[in-house]
Amino acid sequence: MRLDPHKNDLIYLALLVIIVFGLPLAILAYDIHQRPLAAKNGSKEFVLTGSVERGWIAGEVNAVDVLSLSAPAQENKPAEPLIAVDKNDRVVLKLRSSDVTHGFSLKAYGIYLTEGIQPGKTLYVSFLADKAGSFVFACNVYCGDVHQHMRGTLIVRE
Amino acid sequence: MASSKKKIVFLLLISFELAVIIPLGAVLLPTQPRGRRIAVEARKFGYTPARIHVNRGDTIVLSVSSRDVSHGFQLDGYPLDLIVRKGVMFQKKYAHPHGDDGKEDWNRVASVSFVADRPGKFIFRCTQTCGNLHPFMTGELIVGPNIPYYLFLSLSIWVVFAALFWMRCVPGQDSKNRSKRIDMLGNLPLVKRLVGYRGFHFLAILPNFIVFYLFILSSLWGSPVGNRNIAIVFVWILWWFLLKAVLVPFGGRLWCMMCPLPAPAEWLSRMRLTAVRYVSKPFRRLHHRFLGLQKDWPLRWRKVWLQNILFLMLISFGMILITRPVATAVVFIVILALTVVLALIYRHRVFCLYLCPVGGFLGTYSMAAMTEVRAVDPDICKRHREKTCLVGGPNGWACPWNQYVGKMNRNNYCGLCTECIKSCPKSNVSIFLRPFGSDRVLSGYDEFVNVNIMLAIAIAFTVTMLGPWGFIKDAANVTETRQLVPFLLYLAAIWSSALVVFPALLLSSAVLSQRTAGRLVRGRRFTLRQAFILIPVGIFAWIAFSLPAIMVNYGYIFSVFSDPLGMGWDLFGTADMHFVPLIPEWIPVIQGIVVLVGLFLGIRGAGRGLKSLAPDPSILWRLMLFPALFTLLAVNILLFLFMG
Repeated sequence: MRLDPHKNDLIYLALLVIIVFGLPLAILAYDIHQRPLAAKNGSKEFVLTGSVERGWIAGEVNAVDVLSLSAPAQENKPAEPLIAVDKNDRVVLKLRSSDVTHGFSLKAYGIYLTEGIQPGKTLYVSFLADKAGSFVFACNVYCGDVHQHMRGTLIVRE
Repeated sequence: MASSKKKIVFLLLISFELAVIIPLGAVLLPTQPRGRRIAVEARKFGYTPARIHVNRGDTIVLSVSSRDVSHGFQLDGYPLDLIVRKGVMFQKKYAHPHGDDGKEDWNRVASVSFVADRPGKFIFRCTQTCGNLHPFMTGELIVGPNIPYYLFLSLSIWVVFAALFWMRCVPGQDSKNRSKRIDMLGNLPLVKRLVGYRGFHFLAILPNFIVFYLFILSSLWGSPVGNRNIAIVFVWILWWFLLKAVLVPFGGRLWCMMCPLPAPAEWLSRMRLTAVRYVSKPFRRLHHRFLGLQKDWPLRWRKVWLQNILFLMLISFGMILITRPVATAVVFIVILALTVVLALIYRHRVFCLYLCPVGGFLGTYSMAAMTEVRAVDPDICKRHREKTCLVGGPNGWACPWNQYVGKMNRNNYCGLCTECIKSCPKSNVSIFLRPFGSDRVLSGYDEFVNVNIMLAIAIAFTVTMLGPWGFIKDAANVTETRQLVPFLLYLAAIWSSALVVFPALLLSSAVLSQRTAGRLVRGRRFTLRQAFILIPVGIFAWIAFSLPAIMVNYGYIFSVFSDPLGMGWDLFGTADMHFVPLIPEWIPVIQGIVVLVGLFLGIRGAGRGLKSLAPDPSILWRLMLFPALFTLLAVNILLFLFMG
């Protein structure tokens, strides 16, 4: 018995197409599936990523973003992001690191992480925004020159 | 004859015992144990002092501080594990010696003390991801008298002595016989059917195609932290180790057979994935029409010179390449693009043959490999006028590596793609298993320089990546430190040692040996066979270099396996695997054994290669004397870096 190689080529081609399109889709699907869906229970989710060069960055930092992050030093100002929520919102912060171990503190709400935010790991901080005003959050693990400026502002609207 | 052989063995044993006993005598040196207070400062990416010298029995009171970010301090062979931040130091409490209960207990301490009770070199490593070069942040504690190092130093001299002495006294016959090889396809009909299947090559590539596709995705959109990204961990820790320690010594260019990077280009130029498009009227010799211009690669470039230069260019940025995921992505994408462009212009796998930076040394090192594709009976090939393996047939493509199996006697340019096995109408091509180090003739000075480059870079990488010197890592890490002068000095050191110093030393030692051996044994033929010594030495030097990466960092393999893109997944429950090196205190000794084995195989192999040109043992050992001494020097640089 001999398999017809030309017929096989079509099957293999289909296999390749499935892999090329399927793999990224599978990654996306699994990532959405495994993530604790904060939005579902009405809370507001924000992603904060710590960076030695830019301080807190709002959102995820992917490998390819490193190209834009390592711009010359003059433009290298800490980002100091702003997070705005309404009073009595439940806030979920997804904390990530793009390089070294960072920390997180939000004194106004008594939040002071004792364990560091390890690169490649995710820490979640969740609290009820029951005090209105503007509050500073910072890094509480010394992470280099930008550490003092590694801050951001949480605004809780009335 | 028998009694003289007995004498030789007796002499070798006596000298071996001397080589072992003399360094062990250092135990008798008087030592006065004393207390030492040692302050270590950690910074990105090194410790000061980088090398700590103490004596056996000393009590060490150690305090570690950090100048910048969170660092760790884990000492091989001692239950000592510290985390240091600016102004504070925490020590891990080993309350449960057998396994964790899931919780780590850390105590804030001012200093820790321990007794250095074993001689040797012990490496301390950073455990907290502290930046790009974190996996290479190490320091060394040398507990004197460093008996393991002295022992291996003395043994390396003994290996050279013993190998040359044996060569001089035991004539032995020319071992270039073909009876030692085993026909894999003739003996294993199942393997023959598998290899004969047209889809075999495609199916061998397919798993790597999926995995490398994942690597490219991950190195663009995964975690920017190298040791949390599957592309970095799998390519530069796992793949590199498997390539150097398994694929090359056993399979030679086996990787070239399953490499997914040139595969899309080949599929495109053939317009088929597995099937053969055969045209009975040959077009410029070949029985196939490929997509594109179908030019032939210029004859004068059919050497590994370009690969030598491209390899050096690639490893000039080696430190950046293996720590930044995006750099790995760029290299893969450039290679993919180049292979497609070249496949549309030229016939045959010109990228793999003459341009691939990895391909150059895979070629020379595959000479020593234990696998070969050859004609079962070369006489059948000679009589077969069509030479189907070279020009293609209805059942197999023309050799993509442009080789004619009937005359092929070296592995260098054979990619093991198995097309000839399928195309040969006489079933005269097979895969053979053979002894290590069977092809012993370098074909030109391109390969001569290649083996020198590879040994020089093995040493250079050991200094840069395994060594304790932070300033060298800073120099190599140019995109972060942005200091061009140290980087250029670093490049100058690497390029000059690889292209000038090492080749010049090997060449002059080879010529010197030829002068002392006599008038009839001079010239290029001899030099190229003497240079074979660096192939086994180089292979084993690279194995020794790659060992710590896998033995120390294997935990990363499990953690990225569960979380390939560093997105916080945990597919198999191993994402939080702790960083626990595998018997790290034994790594220097294992590395020492590995390079000594390489030294022995190198001298023996080169001697066997020369035997057909210089059968007289008294000339033969002289021919090998100075190349062996040069190699001894190189091996001792490695021994010092590993153990001293």
